Amino acid sequence: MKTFQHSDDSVVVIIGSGAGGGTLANELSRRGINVVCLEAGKRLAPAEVVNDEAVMFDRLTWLDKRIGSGNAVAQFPVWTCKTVGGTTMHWTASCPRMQEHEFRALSTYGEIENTNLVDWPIDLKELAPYYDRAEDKMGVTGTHGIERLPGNNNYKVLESGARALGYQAIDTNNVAINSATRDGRPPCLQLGFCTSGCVVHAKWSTLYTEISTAESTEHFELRAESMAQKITHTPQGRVDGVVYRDSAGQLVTQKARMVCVAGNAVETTRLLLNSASERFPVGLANSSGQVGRNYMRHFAIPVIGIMPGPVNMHRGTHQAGIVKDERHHDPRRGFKGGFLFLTVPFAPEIVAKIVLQDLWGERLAGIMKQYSNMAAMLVHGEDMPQESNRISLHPTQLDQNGLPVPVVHYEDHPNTAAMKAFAAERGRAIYQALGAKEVFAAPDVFPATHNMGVARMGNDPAKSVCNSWGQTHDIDNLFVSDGSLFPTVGCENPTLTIVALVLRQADYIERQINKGLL
Amino acid sequence: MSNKISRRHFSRSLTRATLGYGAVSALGLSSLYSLADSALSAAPKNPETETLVQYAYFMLPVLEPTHARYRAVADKISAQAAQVPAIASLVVGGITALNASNKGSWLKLPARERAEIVRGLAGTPFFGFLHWTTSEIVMRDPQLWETLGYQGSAIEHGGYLHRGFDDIDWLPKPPSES
Repeated sequence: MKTFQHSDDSVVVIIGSGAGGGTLANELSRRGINVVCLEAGKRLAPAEVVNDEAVMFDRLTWLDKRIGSGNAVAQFPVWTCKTVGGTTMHWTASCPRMQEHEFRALSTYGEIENTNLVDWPIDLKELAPYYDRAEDKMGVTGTHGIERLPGNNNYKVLESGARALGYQAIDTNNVAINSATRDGRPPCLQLGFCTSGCVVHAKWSTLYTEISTAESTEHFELRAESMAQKITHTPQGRVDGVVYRDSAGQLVTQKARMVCVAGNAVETTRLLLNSASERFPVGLANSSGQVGRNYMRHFAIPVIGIMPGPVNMHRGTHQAGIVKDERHHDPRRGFKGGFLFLTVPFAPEIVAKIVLQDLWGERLAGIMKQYSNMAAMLVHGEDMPQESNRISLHPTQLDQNGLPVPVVHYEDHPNTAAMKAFAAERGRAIYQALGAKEVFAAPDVFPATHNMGVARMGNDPAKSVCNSWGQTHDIDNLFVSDGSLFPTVGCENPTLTIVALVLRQADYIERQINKGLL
Repeated sequence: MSNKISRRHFSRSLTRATLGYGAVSALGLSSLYSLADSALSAAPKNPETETLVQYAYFMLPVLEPTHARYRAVADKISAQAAQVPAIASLVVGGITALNASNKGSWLKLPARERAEIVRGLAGTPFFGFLHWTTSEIVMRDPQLWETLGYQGSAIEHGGYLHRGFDDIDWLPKPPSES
């Protein structure tokens, strides 16, 4: 496999190998552009991916110290992954497109107090061709003639309950999970362990799609267990390398013609801020002061119904089930923006320790004994950009790599709080419509796995970090290539949109290189 | 045999401080780190194992009271307390609170009175910590899974595609079919 010298300044260095970084790496290397990808996590061998949630949590999750404040969980404020493939190992592969009006959040919703609401610098029409390409690349069901997955029991309950309430936009979702052999990968076996890494590779993950394709070119090198510390720059202010701790624990510098940061919101922020220098005293690409700000997530409310008969929700694909009737914007509901209902199964451990964390004793035992009859969903909706929701660096605490510990501050906006209350009630109603004996809607206790904002795109360099291609306003050859780019978030799972943005970015980078500008 | 497996399992669990972090945090204990960092001088003590075993059973009585999983909860918490002063302090404080009634040791009280005292502790970090650890350890018992109907690892059986992923039979028929 191809390797590059540390001194080779012809390479594009990409930091992160998930949906953004892994996809960009493949897109650039197949165009003949040399890429070195630095990934903090290990590369799991196929046999290391097993049907065991507890084991896979340890193998996939980013567990280095982070501090939460506000509503963010203090010791585990965000849920991200540290492994080759990044969060595409853990994701449910749910791929709804963002809606047209969500790209025009400010125009649609109007000014909302204490938000940093904006319209995107691009609209759905501009992104649509890239959504098409992303769906084709990832094999998204319900697109490009790809058959949808069959509905499992948990889906059938959701569908039936939703229909009873009059909802109609219900299907087995657009998922990047094969319903038939495609791209050399087999169809889904309905294993029920989507978020623990897909053992059979029916689910799209960059580990065995984008990364392995890139490795088949002569233009790509993956360096796993390589933790980026700092991006360096020339006296003229162009970036020229990345200092990282390699798998042997040594600090080394990889020279670069350009750098693309795709570390997921927390690590992207940390790297930009930690790269502060005399020339860029508040961090790279941060002349707007917006790096780390406008951190957004999607609330995730688990709803569990004890149904009149067996469901066996653990059997089958996690999010092959969606109700889209509430995703539109209708301020008469008491909030701006919309939300989605998605099926999700929970293992007994998660039901007991998280969803039912307020119950105990005979009551908890009695509920757990009805596990077979449980149906479950997650409800998630649009979050508002708030400048005060912010990722920053702890002023004194360092982690094992000598890097400042990230601090994640998050508070619900009143709009989010209003939406959550409404959404939880509708979720309950779906199961109640089928005669559920009891319904539990837990508070939004999961750390978000959807992390967005912090390096927002925009046309005004004074108010945004990147232009619409993800190129930083301040430094031509520094790009952001992950969900950090989102100016607002819609209510849809973000990965498809991240991939679409990165495909558009790759086209732009190629054009700029051909023009001699990068 | 099964004891050996579970022991190995738990010693592995102990080395992963992370779920512990998640655990404590999800309970709303404001900052384990700042607690751990501050000068809590109390030397880590071995909490009263038997109280923890009984408390774990009280928390989630889905197995026999003498089941090894409840003892495993106590062992795990004792081991964590021995390593992290903040956890030691949490546990010692919790046990003290359990025993604080004027009727004497919590362990020796009738079940109903023990329940009253536990109810009084609901919402505290101690309660949450015990709830989390108990749920985690008890709910990972493969024999319990069988009772509950959770089938665990599916890959060796070819998943559920041909094993009932869509076998639900009690739902009302959609209007078009009825």
